[in-house]
Amino acid sequence: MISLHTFLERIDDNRLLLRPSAVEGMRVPGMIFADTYIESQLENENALLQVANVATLPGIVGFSFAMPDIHWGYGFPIGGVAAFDVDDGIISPGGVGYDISCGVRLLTSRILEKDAKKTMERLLPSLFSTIPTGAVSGGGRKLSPRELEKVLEEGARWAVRSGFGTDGDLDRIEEGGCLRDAISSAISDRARERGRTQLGTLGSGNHFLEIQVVDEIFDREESSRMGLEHGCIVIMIHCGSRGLGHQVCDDFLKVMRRAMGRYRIDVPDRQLCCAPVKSEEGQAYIGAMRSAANFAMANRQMIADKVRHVFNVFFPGEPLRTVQDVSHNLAHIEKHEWEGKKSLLCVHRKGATRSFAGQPVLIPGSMGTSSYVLVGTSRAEKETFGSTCHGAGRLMSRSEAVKKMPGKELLQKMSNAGISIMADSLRTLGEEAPEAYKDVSNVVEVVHRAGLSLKAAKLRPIAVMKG
Amino acid sequence: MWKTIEHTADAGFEITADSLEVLFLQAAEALYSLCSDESPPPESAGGKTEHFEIDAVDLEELVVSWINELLFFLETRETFFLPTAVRISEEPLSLYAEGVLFRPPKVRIPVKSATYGGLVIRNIPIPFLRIFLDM
Repeated sequence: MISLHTFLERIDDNRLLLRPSAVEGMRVPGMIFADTYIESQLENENALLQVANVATLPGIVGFSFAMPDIHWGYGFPIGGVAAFDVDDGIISPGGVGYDISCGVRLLTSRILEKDAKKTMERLLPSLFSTIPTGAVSGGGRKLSPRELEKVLEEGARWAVRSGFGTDGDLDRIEEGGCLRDAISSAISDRARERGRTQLGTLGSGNHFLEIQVVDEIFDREESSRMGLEHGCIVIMIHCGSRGLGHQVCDDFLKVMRRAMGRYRIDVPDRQLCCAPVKSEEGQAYIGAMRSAANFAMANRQMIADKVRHVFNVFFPGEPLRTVQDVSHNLAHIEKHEWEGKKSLLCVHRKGATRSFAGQPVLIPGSMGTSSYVLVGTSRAEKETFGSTCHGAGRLMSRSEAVKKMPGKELLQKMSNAGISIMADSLRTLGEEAPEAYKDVSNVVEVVHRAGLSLKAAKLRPIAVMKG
Repeated sequence: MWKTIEHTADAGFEITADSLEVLFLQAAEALYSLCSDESPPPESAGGKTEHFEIDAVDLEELVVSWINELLFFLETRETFFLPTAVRISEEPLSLYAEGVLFRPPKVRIPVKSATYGGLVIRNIPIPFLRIFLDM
C-alpha cells in the first residue's frame, strides 16, 4: 500500500498540500498547516487519512483543512476544518465532535502574580471546592425541566438574566452567548437527563481551569484592547457541553447512519455519517447542536460566575472581565467568498477556532505549559473560512503518557516549576502530562507565520485545577 | 478475552469470545475496568436488579448502543450495570440484558461515548470486537 505521505507536497514553510489523488473519491485537496516539526509528528497516517476522507464528502468547498494541532479523531481529524455549500453539501456530527461547543473562556484581572501567589494555598482549594470536577455528572445546578429548556434556548443569556454574570460578559461571548435558531425539541430526554445536574461543572479529561500570568506581550495595542496587562493574572476556563452534548452527538450519529441511504450518500468512515444541510435530519441536528452549544456557553458562564465569587473573597472589589468565550467544536452557517463567489457555507470546526479579523482567539496549552491569546485575521477569512488552531494537539496515547509520567512525578515536576495543582485523579494528571502533547508554542508559531491568527500575548500557568 | 488498544487521544479494546452474548458481557467488563481501574466485582456485590432492551439496525449500532447504555447508567446514576445475562435476537435485531446495579467507590475515566471510528464487530468465524471510546 502506498503511503499517504507520498501525496504530500510542501507549498511553503507552513503549508502542506495533500493531493486529491491520495484517496479515491476526494473532491478537493487537503491542506495541512504544518512546518517541518509538525510534519515530523504526522508519521502515524490515521489523521492524514481522515483529512482525505473528509475531502470525499458531498458539497465540500475549497480544501479539507487541518490545523497544526492535527491528530487522530473520529471521522474528522482533531484540528479539522471543512466548509460545505448549504445547497448541495452536508452536515456531519463527526465534524463537530462529541463535546459540542467545547471551548475556552478567559477572564482578565489587575491582580499581580505575587499577590495571587500569596493567597494560592487557600485560593486554589477554594476554587476546587466551589467548582465541581470529575467524570461523573452531578454537583452542578439542579435544573428544573423549564429551566433546562431556557438554557437550551437562551444559552449564557439565561445565566446572566438569572444573576450569574453581567451584560458585559455577553458582549464578549461568541454570538452574544446564544446561538439563534436552536431547536430544543430536538434534544432527547436522555440528553436532558445527562445535562440536568451538570450546569456549572468542569468535567474531566483535558478540561481545566487555570490561573495564569500574562507573561509576554507580542502586540501591545491588541493586548491593551483586550485588557491584558503584563504581570497580571488571568483565569482560563476550558470545558464544554458535558454529557448533554455527548448524547446529542450519539443520538444524531444514529439518525444519520440510518438516513444516509435515503440520500444516496456513501462515506469511507462510518463516523463521518451525515445528511444534507437542508434535509429534515440535517436541520434537526443543526438545531440540537445549537441547543447543546447554548448549554456549553451557559456552563462556562456559570463557572465564570463561581470564579468571581471565590476571587471576591480574596480580592474584594477586583473585577474579573471576560476577554472572550469561543467554541472550538462547532459548525456554523456563515457567508464566505471562495474563488470570487459568495456562498452560504456550513463551516465545521472540530478542534479549530473561529478566526475572524480582529476577534480574540484563545489557544490553551497542555497542562503546565503556556497558553496564547491571538487575534483573528482577514487572511484567515479568505484562506480557511476564518479558522485557526485550537490547542497543542495530542501526540501520545493516555496509557503511554501515564507510563512516561506517572501522576505523582508530574505533581512534583509542576511543584518544582512553581505551579500549584489540584485534580480529581492522579491518573488523569499523568494522562494529561505536557509530554503527551505537541509543543503549543510551535503550533502557534505556524498559524502566526501562516497569517491565520497573530500572537497578542503569552500566558504562563501558576495554578491548575483538573477534573 | 479482552485487551486494551491504543489511540492517540482516547482508548479502545479488542475482544474475542465464544459467542456474541459473551462478547457483549466482556465489553461491559472491559468498560468497567477502563472506568475504575479495578476488576468487576462479583455479582453478589450488586444491589438492585435491572433489565433493559436495545433495538438496532445492525451489530455495529447494537454494540455502540450497548456501551452507551452502560455509560448512561454510570453518568446519571453513578452506578455500574453489571450484566448477569445477555440475550441477542436476530429478527429484528435486539439485545435484552439483565443485571445488578453496583455503585463503584471511584470512577476516574470520563468516557464520553463508544464510537463507530475503527469499529469492527463480527460473529463469524469467531465473535470479535474492536471498538474505540471517546474520552
